[in-house]
Amino acid sequence: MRNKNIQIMVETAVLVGAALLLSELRLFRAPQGGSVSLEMLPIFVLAFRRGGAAGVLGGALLGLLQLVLGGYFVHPIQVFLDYPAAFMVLGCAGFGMLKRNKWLGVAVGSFFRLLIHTVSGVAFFGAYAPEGSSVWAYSFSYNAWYLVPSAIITGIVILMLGRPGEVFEPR
Amino acid sequence: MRFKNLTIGQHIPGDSVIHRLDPRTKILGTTMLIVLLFSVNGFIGYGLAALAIAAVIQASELPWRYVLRGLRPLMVILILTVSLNLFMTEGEPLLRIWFLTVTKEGLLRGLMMGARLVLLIAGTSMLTLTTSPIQLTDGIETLLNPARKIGVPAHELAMMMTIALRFIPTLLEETEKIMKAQMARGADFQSGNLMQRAKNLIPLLVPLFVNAFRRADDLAIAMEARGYRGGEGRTKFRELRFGRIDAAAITIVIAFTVVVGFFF
Repeated sequence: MRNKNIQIMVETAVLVGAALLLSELRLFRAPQGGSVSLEMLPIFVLAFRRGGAAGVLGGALLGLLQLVLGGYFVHPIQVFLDYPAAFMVLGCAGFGMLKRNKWLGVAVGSFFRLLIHTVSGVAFFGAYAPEGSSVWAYSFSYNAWYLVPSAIITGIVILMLGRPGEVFEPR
Repeated sequence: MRFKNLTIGQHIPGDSVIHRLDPRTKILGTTMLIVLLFSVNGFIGYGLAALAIAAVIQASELPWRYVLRGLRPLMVILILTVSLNLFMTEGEPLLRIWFLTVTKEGLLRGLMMGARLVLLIAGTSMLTLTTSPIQLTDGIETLLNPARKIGVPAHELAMMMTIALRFIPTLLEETEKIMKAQMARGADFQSGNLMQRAKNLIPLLVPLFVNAFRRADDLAIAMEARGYRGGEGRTKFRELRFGRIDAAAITIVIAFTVVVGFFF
């Protein structure tokens, strides 16, 4: 009798490793941090393959590791949102109907990540900029600028990965 | 996509006092620094914090440019923060440029916010520059241990982080191998528009994922065969050791934080 937990645990870890590798292979880098890459792909694969809980856990690990490998700390709330939280929400793609409609899963997960980065940007400016500066639009559009292309590429790749079947179905 | 000189993480190995400190000491020290930087409110406080960070950088024997390089990606945010404060804080006007007014309060606030940002980034990056990711993971595991009582799987999280880090070089090697194999068959990873490129990545990604799952399965079987049962009673090859130098460092850091945080 195989221990399912160890199997899922190791698989999550290896996929997080793949995500870290892909996050370094930037297709395009934005000037203030954030870049267009396929880093979200392994987390979505994990969520579709092993369910939302594994996806959320994998996302949290990815965020923590990015922080450990040299993240940016400018405010406690910003760190929590930009690192674990922003990647955790990608795991939502593994829940319910999102798991069956993969493109919808990618879209919803990425949109949640965009929201979290936006809130983080607002929290940052709330702490550093004088009151009255309008920052929601700025933060949203800045983050959308690299996240939307990333999400589109990831979505296309996810749809095409589904065809061989091996990737999303554990043996 | 280029693989040459790919470095993941910014750790720079060394043998300085700072490098040799226990990771837990460094994590606690960094936390104290963050608390300090958010509690001081004046230039003397920031000046003293800057001196302390400079002393740590000097003691770490790292070249200063490594630390300063970390600030570069945040240059735009830094300039934006300082100038927003400079021009948009109301108060006693100092200087008028066209329709923008620099106020005395704005100048002070801008400089202070800029100083806090720079010190936060320089200070926290010292942690990741002088501590290897594996050591940090070990440190996080022991610091999270008390949280096990409320159901945080500290050991499992640390184990997964270690496995993830361990697999990066393996996966990188595999990616290169698959890329070469597919290029020999005529695959093209360099040209085309975004859509085309994404499509071209499929012959790379499918074998990469399938291989990764196979490796993960092998590792899981190996762990089970060796009786892996999670964190309970597990021993380590390299134990973290909290020595006298750590006790001294912690004492200095706490004393400094309390004094500077309280008085300035």
